[in-house]
Amino acid sequence: QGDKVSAEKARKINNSYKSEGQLPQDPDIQDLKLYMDKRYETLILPINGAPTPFHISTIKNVSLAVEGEYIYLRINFFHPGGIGKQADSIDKENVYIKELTYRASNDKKDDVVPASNNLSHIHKLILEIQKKYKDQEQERKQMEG
Amino acid sequence: MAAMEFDEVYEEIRGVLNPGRLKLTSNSVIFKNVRTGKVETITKDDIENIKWTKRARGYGLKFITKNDTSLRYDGFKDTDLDRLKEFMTINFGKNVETQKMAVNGWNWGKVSFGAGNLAFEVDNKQAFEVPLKNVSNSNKGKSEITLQFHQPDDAKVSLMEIRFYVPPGDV
Repeated sequence: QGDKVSAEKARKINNSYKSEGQLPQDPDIQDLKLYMDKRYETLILPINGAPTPFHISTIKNVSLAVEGEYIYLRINFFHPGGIGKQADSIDKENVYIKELTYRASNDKKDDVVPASNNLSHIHKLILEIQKKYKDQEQERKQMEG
Repeated sequence: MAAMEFDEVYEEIRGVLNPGRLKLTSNSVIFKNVRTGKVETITKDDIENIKWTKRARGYGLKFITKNDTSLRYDGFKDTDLDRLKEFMTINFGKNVETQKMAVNGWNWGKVSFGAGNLAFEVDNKQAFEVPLKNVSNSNKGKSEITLQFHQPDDAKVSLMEIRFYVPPGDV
């Protein structure tokens, strides 16, 4: 567990954007869908009408579930509350987003494609960008020796 | 300027953008939902303050009323700000306060409550707000708070649940 804690501590703090002008303009964002900004390795989530960015390094894992006519996408974020963490090493000033779950219908209704396509597409992109990010981090660590 | 009208304004309710028209007169703000025909009116004496923020659909104006509720209208262009500011100053005697959005992409920050909303602030800037009337259920665990939301039938993609990790000892 000790290794896990130090790995957590060593986690780099990444910034997605410097200013809101850098936020991408995309029809999916405008339509309150989920969007992956590959260039900035950032997932943009609609939270009550706000395009909320999350850097890929904050995402721990992601899962997709089909239940009846709906698809659910659950995004788990890193937070300092895992098992084996030292409670006193936690920054108590902050609250962490631990998990966000989205739902979309499988039904085509009047659209050409079902809304759930957005969630399955984003699921795939999160895995892809996460892998790319991890590979880069690995490379960076090796370079530093 | 006697009145201003905006034809492509949206009111976001539980993940759905409701198109409508916003009219600003010398003593009120009137929003008409073009789908339902429902009209919302805020009189100038009810306005406590006005905020301007980046939103998924353009920029948004948020009116906070004196009885502590929030009304938010999206779909403005950044170039609308100057004339809106001028209008509100002259007619309502209020400033439009620009609220910068948190864009650094972190999942940690501070939670505060006000005007019917839970606000999540990252690095002293607001990341998002959750209208408390959208919350259908909430649970408090040992170091965890879960909020579940009402699900509208017409939302394409909707947020079901947010789970926060609250470090022990925090209030």
